[in-house]
Amino acid sequence: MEPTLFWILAGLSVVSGVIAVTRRNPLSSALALAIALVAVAGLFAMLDAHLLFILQILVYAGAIVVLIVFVIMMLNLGPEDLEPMRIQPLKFGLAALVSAAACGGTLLWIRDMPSLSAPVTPGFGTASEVSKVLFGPMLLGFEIVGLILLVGILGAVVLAKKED
Amino acid sequence: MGAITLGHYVGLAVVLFFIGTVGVLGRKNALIVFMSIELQLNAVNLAFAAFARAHLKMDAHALVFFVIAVAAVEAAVGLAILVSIFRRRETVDLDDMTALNE
Repeated sequence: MEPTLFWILAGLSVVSGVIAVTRRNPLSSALALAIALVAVAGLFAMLDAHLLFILQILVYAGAIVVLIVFVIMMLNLGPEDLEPMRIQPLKFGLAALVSAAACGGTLLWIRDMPSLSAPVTPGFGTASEVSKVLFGPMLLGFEIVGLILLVGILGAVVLAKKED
Repeated sequence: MGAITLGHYVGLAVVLFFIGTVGVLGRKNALIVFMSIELQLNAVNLAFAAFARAHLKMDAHALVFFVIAVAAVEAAVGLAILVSIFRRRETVDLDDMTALNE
């Protein structure tokens, strides 16, 4: 059961990821990206990362994709604004080649990695356990994230404001 | 189909990351480059979660939390920049945004 579910989710995320980076219309890309993100959320659930599963759905598949779709709608790109599919064969081919080599190298390296069959410790991945780390050793980082969010909000408002 | 190991998850994360890399390097539409970056960040998150599960330590979950928060901020600011560039120059094509190297 679990291997089957893993392969379904992995295939879904890879296929929709490929669709997301190859579509000409950004709206199709955004919808494919949403599917990929939901598939990764499912993988988080399989890894017993309950809080991350919820955050992934809420923040990524919810907020970020909705924001991207919103901006695509707002820009209202006509067919003439979309790039003609001028993929530079040299650059694209080089990127694909390097990527394939790196993927192949890693796939060899990861062949003998530990299995994930060990039972989880009680409370693994729940909000309370993550909070014990967030408010313990990583408290400074947590505070800085709050600051970054504030700066981000102000920056986005200032940047997107109409001048004059 | 054997049992799923840590290697399967890390391999999937690597594949997703490089799909994103090809999108970042090969595409010219700023919006799609943007989405490719999100895909890359997500692949890294998946690797973090897989290693956390393998070592049964929660620290990586906190790191994923940070990555998600920074990705959200980056989305807001990046899209705001795109909107203001589009308002001024009527384009989202990266080849037309060359003011800094002229």
